[in-house]
Amino acid sequence: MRLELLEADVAELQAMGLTPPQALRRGLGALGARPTYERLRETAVTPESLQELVHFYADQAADLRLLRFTYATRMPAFERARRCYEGVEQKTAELRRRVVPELKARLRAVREEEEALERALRERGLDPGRIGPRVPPAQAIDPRPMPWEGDPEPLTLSPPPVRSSLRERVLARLLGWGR
Amino acid sequence: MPVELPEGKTVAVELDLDDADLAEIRRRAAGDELAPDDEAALLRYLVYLGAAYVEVERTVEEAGSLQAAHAAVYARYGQAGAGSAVLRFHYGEASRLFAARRRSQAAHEITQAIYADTARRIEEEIAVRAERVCNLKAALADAPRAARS
Repeated sequence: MRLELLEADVAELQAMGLTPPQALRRGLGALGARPTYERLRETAVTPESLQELVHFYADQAADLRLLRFTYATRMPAFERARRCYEGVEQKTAELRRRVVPELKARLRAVREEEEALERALRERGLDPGRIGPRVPPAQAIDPRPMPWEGDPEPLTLSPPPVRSSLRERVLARLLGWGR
Repeated sequence: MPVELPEGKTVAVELDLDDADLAEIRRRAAGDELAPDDEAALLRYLVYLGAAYVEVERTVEEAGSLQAAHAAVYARYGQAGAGSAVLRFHYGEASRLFAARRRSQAAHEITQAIYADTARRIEEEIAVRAERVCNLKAALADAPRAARS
């Protein structure tokens, strides 16, 4: 029967001069024979209270190590999820802040040039509508920049109100200013 | 009792247990309210529990008197409780963040796909209009001759 333990657990057991099977046998000796109530009952310092405290400590320490095992072994998954999330978030921000606004600016410039050429052809009596290829109006992209695209404007706050000095406040009260 | 989070590297250890031992562990665990239900967690708990007993019994032996032993074990009990609370808090936060990121990642992926599609469509439209601009320029270059003729 094999069991996964943290390398750090094994190192701690070795430092105590214990092997995992030896530690397990010692723990098994207490299983089912120890107090399992929630709070310490003994109040005076007696051999019984010390024994009760030993059992409570052992359970608390084992519980802590069990939690440490769970946390440490899940940490790589937490880290992977964080990196993946940040990657997606950065890519989305890059598209929203830079790529799409730049493309829309290029599209506006091309449209302006196209419209100027159309006007020039009309002035010479020619119909630009016969010259293609054309983008169907329903498929044309709205090239206007949207409020949520580009770099967000930095948050600015108005300066805090200037508080009058103690002397000014006393004078104002005495002279009845501001009433 | 170290509270720092070690690396998550694990190693498989042999416990030297046969079927009769496992049956005995299960029987005793059934009568112990603090024992974990999951079998792997139970075996791990027993290893940690045994190590903690050995550790604390050495503390008692080294203390010299009942009072000193009580004080030393009580201090260790407090440290373990505090360490457990700290670790539980951080683990809870990490789990909550993990779940929140997984939920919002789906929304980010949809937004990213929408923006990527918009970028692709803009590029296609630019290509079509650039071609038309070339054709319009060519028509305009031919326009004076057409007017004269």
